[in-house]
Amino acid sequence: MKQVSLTVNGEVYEVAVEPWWTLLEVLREKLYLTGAKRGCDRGDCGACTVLIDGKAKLSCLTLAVKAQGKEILTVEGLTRDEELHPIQRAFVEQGAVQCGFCTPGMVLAAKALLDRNPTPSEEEVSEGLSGNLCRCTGYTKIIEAVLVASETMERRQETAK
Amino acid sequence: MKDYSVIGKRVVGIDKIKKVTGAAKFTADLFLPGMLHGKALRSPYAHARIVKIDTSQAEKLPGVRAVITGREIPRVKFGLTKDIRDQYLLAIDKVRYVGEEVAAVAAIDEDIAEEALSLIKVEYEELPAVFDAESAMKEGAPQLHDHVERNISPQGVIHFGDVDKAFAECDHIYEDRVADAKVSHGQMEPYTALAAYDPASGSLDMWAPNQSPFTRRRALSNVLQMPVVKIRYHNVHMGGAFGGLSDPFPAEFIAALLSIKSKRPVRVAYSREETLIAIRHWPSVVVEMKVGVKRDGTILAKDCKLTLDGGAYMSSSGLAAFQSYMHLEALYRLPNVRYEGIRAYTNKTPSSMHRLQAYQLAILEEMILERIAQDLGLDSVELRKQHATQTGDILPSGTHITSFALRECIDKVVAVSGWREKKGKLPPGHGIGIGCSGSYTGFAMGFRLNSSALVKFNEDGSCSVFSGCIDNGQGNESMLIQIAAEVLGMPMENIELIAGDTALTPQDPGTYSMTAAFVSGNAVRLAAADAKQQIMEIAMSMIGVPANDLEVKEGRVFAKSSPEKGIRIESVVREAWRRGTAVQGRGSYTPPAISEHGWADQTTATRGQRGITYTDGATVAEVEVDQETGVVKVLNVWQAYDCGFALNPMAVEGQWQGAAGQMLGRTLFEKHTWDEKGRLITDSFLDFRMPRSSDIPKVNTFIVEPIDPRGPFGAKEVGINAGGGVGPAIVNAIHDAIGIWIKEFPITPEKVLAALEEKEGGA
Repeated sequence: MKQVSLTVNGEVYEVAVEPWWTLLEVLREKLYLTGAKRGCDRGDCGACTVLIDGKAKLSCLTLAVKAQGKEILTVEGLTRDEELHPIQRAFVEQGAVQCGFCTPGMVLAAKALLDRNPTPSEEEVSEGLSGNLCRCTGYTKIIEAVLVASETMERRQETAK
Repeated sequence: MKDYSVIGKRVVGIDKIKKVTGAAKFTADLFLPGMLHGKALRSPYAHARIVKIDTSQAEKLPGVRAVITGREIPRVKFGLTKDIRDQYLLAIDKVRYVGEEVAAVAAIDEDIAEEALSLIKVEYEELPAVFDAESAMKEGAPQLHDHVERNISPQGVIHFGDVDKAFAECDHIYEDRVADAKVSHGQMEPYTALAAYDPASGSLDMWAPNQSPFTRRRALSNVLQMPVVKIRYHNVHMGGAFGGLSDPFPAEFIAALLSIKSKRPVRVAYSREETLIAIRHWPSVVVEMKVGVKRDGTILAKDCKLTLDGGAYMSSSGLAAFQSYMHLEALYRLPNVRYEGIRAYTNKTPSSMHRLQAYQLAILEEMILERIAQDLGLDSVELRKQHATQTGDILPSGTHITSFALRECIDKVVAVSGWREKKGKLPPGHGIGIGCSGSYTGFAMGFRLNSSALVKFNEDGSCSVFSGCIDNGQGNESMLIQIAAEVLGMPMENIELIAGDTALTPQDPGTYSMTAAFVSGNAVRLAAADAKQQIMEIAMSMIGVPANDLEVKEGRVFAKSSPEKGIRIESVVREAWRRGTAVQGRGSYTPPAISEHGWADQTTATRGQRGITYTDGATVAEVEVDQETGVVKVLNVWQAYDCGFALNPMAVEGQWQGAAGQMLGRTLFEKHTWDEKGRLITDSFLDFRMPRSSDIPKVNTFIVEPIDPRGPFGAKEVGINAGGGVGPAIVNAIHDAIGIWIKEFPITPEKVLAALEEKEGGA
C-alpha cells in the first residue's frame, strides 16, 4: 500500500492505495464518490470520465498513484453552492437524462468540450461526445443540451465582461 | 384538447437533478456494512457435463468468506412460467453455454474473489454443441434439454381466414426472407446484484436492476425455497432494461446464496464482458414471408414463418416467438393471415425480448410492400395508407381497435421529411425510404396484468403515492407523479412516490408488458381519484357545499360557483383523522384483455381482445451509400408515431429518439460473433459496435395523439413501438440509393460491397 494525496473537487484526500488500483476504483470505493461509473473498465464507454487538470480522462484507465498532484474534477464537484452548472441545468431541462448512468461522464465530457471550444457546431458536439456511450437517448437531446449550455455560458461571459 | 395543469406538458423528471449531480445511486453504488464482493466461475465449454468440482483450495484462501456450487442448492428450476422451467440458476449437472455460472465466491475484495475462482477445479465432460437454430432442429442434433424434442420449444401456428384459398385468388405472389444477428440490449449499467441476508429474522433484502420486482421476488422465493414475505426487492436507480432484464439472473441467486452462507451482505457486480456474455441477448431470427395481392394492389393474404434462435434457456424468448406477430397484428387490414413461430434451443447465451420484437418482421413486410408498389406501378405510401387499419376496426381475431392513427402518422412523416420532393430525385448513392411499425399494449399475463396503487395524505396536505411500477430510465416514476398531481390538482413537488418495493408497494405487471402508462398509470389515476372523492365527501360536510359544486385544486377544496368558499386539503385530512377515518385512496386496474390466459397461451388465445390497445407509426430515413467503401451513412431520420395522449412530450420524444438509435445500431452495426467452440468474441462495446453519437443523426420526432378511451388521459404506450420503423426505412432507403435489397443484418460495408459486386456481375 502507498499513501497518496488526491485533490478532488478542491478537497485534499489522504488515502492508502495499491499501485495497481485505478483512479475510478479509488474514487468510488475509497472516497465514496460514486458519480463516476464503471461501465466497461476498459475505456470503451466513457462512463468513468473525470476531468484531470481540465482535460477529460478515463478514470478506469488512470492509475490512482498517477493522479497525485493533479486537480481532479468529478461530477459531484460541478455543482457550486447548491446551484447546478449550466451544463447540468441544460441536460435536465432539455430532457437529455433518462436512466442517468452515462450522465456524469457525459456532462464532464461536455464541459471539457465547451472549455476547449465554447461555441461548437452541432457536428463538433456530436464528434466531441463520441467517446461517451448512451443507450437510452439516441444522443439527440444530449447534443441539444450541450448547444443550449454553450449559449448560456457565452451569455454569462458577455454579462461578466 | 383539454387544458391540463401538468399532464401533457414538457415536465422535467423528478429524478433528473439527482442523476445529473451524480447523487442517484445504482446498485453498484450501494455499500452495506461488512459487505463482501461476489464473483462467479463460468463454464469455458458450450455444452458439457459437470463431473466434479473441488473448491477446497478456494475455501482456504485468506479473505474468502463463502464458496458455493450447484451441489448445495435446492433442485428447483427457474422459468418465467410454470410450463417453461428449464434453468438451474447455478449449474448442477450440465452447462449449456460458454459463460454459464458454475460456482461462486464471496471475499473481502474483488481481487481476492478473482484469485479464489482460479483455485476452483472443475472437471468437465465436453459434449457436442449446436450454435444455430437450423442445426439444432435437425434429427440427431445434440439435445440441450432432456424434455425437449429436437430442441424445439415452443412452436405454434396462428391462422385467421383462409390463407391458401386467398392465395389462389391472387394475381401476384411475393416471397422473401430476411435474417439477422444476435445483439445485446446494451444497457449502460453492467449487471449488479446486492443481497443482504439477516440470519436473525431469516429475511433477505435484494437490490438489482429489473423489470418487475414482484416476478423476481416470486422466482427467488421458489428457487431458494423461502417464503415470499421473507424476500424484499428494494427500489433502486436502474441503468436501462429494454426487455433484457425480464428474469432473475444467476447474479442475484448467487448473491443471495453467498449472503445466506456468509451471513454478510454480498454484492455481485458483473463486468462489462460478463454482462455481454451472460445475461440476455436479443434473439436472432430468420423470417420468411409470402404475400398475395390483386393486380390493383389489394393485399389478400400473408403467410409468414419466424424461426428464432433462443439460446440455452427459455427466458422470455419463447414469448418473443409470437410477440413478433402480435406487435404487427393491427397495422394493416389483412383478412387472411397465417403465422408460424418456432424457437430452437442453441448452446449460446439465453435470449429474451427486446422492445419491438417485430423489428425483423416489420423490415420484411415493409420491403415486400415496396416491391409490390414498384412492380405494379403504385405509390408505396398510398399502398400503405390504403391498407392501414383505422379506429373502430375489428381484427380477424375479434380484437377491437379503439384508437389508431397510422394514416395520420404516414401523412405527417411524408410532409415533414420532404418525401415527395426527394423520392426518385436524389443524386446517385442517396436514397430515401419509409417504414411503418406498430405495437400493442398489454399482453395476457393472467393475474400479473393487474396494477394496484395507494395514495395516503399527510398532515400538511402533501401526499404519498404507492405503486409497484419501476423505472428503468423511461421516466415512469415522474409519469406517475404527474398523473396523481393532475387528478389531485396539486403541484408535483408535494407528492412523494414510493415505487417498486415489494414490501411497501402493491402488485404491478412490471415494464415488460408495455403497461407502465396504460395499467400502472390507470391504477394511480384511480387511486388519486378515490382519494379526491374522500376529500370532497369530508369537505362537503365541513363547508356545506354540495358534491357537484366541489373542485380540488392547488391544495384547496372549494365551491366552483364561489371559489372563496373553501378549505385547505390539510384541514380535511386532519378532520378525517379526528373522525376516526383517514384519507387513503385505493386504485386497481386490470385491462380488459383476455387476461385469463397466461403468458404461454399466445397461440391458443387466438380470439378475443388480444391486446388492450394498439400503437403505430411511420418513419422516413435518408441515407447516403458510399459505393467505394460500402459505408451507409444515415443522414436524417423522421418519425411520426402514435402514443395516444402524450403525458410528457419531452419524455416521449426521448424514448423514440433513443429507440431509433438502438434500431439504427441493430440495422447497420451491431452483431455478436462466436468462435467455433461457442465462445463470444464480441465481449466488449468496441467489438460489439455500440453506436456512438457520431453514428446517429438528429432524430426528428413528431407525436400523433389519437385519444384512447381507456388509457389514462388517453395515453397508450411509448417505449415498444419506439424506433420500430427505423430498420424498415433504412433498408428501403438503401434500395432507393443503390437498387439493392439487402436482406441480412447488420448491413455492414462488407455486405454492401458484396451486394454491389453481385449486382455488377449480374448486369
